[in-house]
Amino acid sequence: MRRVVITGMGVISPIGNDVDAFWSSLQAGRSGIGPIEKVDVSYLRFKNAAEVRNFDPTAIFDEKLLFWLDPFAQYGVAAARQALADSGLELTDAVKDRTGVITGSCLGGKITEDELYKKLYAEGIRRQPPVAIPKAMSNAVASQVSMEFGLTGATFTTSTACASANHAMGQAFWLIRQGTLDAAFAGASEAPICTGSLHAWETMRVVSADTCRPFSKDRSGMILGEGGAMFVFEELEAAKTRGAKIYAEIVGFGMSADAHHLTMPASAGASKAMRLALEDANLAPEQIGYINAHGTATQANDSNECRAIRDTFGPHADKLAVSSTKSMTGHSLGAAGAIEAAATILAIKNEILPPTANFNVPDPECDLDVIPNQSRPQAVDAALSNSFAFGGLNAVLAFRRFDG
Amino acid sequence: MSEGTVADRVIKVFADFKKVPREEITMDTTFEELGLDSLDGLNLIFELEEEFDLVVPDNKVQEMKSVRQAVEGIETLLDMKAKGIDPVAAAAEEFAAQQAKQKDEKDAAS
Repeated sequence: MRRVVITGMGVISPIGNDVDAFWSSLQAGRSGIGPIEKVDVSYLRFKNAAEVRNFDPTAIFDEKLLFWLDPFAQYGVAAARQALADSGLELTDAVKDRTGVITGSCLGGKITEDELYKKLYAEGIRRQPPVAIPKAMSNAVASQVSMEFGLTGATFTTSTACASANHAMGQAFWLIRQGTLDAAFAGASEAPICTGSLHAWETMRVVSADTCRPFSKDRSGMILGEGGAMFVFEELEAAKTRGAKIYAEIVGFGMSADAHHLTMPASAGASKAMRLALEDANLAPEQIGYINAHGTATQANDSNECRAIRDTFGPHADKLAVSSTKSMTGHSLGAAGAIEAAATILAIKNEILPPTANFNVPDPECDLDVIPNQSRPQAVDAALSNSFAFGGLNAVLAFRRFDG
Repeated sequence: MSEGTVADRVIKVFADFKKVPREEITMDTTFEELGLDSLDGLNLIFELEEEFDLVVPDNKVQEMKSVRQAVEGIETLLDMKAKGIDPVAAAAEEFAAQQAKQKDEKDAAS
């Protein structure tokens, strides 16, 4: 069976706009959560988010291209360019023919839509330039990257709320493994910080007015984030032949549905997805050393996730290290799984496990080793990264250290 | 709204849109020569609508592929506006008349 490895990465996030800055923050346990600056929130109950900062799109994109890029697409395309450069992959005609772009995004160009609707409904401006559709469509990143790099392999976008990224990356992994593609740019991006979206989130009463404290007894909800991460996935033999640098191997993908509730999770679905990821990876539970949790810091998710981890891993759960990097990056919705995959892959490669930041008080319902507040030097053989989305859609990726 | 004849103002819109000096644009310059694809063309028509405070009906957009065609189209639309004629309604009537004529010709042939 063909094997798939990660040979390039790119990240735009609230804790760093490239892989090195991102890792440095994770290692230091440094959070990117703070007062929202991009939008007026004086009328909202929550004031904090994890925003991408110091990102100047005019320095990255020429004016003509930028005209077509919503912020969500700016993050995705910028991350893809970083990943390509990082991988050193030469885009020959043969490579372009067998490489696709598979992205995740829950909202697409919501900021562009928000601006359009404001002009139309609030200001009565009916005449609009014809850019909103190509900017706002959720597949904008997949299309732009495919156009810019000349890639003509299977290319599409998945939209499954907070699991969008894992579904996209899992599909990219399987398509290479089964021989449809030899390589893929896989990842996700999201830019949800606009008035309409923030208002909609407020009505659900799940966003914290404080900060993101996954697994802590005093947790009070999620914090929204934004950004993007893109990876170059390659078939192993091709990667070795060209002497590629290999971060890690992607070995398993598990999916399930809760069939339960639109916003409340059910642990059976989560444990099924983890179990299926392990089976797909041909890994025993005992081989997993670290789990990058979905860990949104809502009451419901965190206890549910810990229960699911215990169900899946049995006694080995007590030997697992589990952390939620959303404590630092916030919850970037469709991009979350991609940013968390970056954290997981770097944790394996660098042999340091990122912490759960902002942790105050243990919760008996989350009685796992959650790596509180400080990163931990530890080598693991394999790790899982969990995404459990609204609507009960679960997607779990398994990564393994690659030794050669 | 800028100064000058309709032709002057159309050329200014084109020049500003492509960020080239006005002198480089003539009445015979085509969209293709300016390197505009179909989406750029739509944006350019949007800029013309803004400049002249007009609505260009969809079927008229097809006819505007050069500076000259744009100028002629804009002049016609300005004329209709002065006469209080709604260009979108007029375009719909024109289309219906075309359909009827084509149907007559088809019936006559069979």
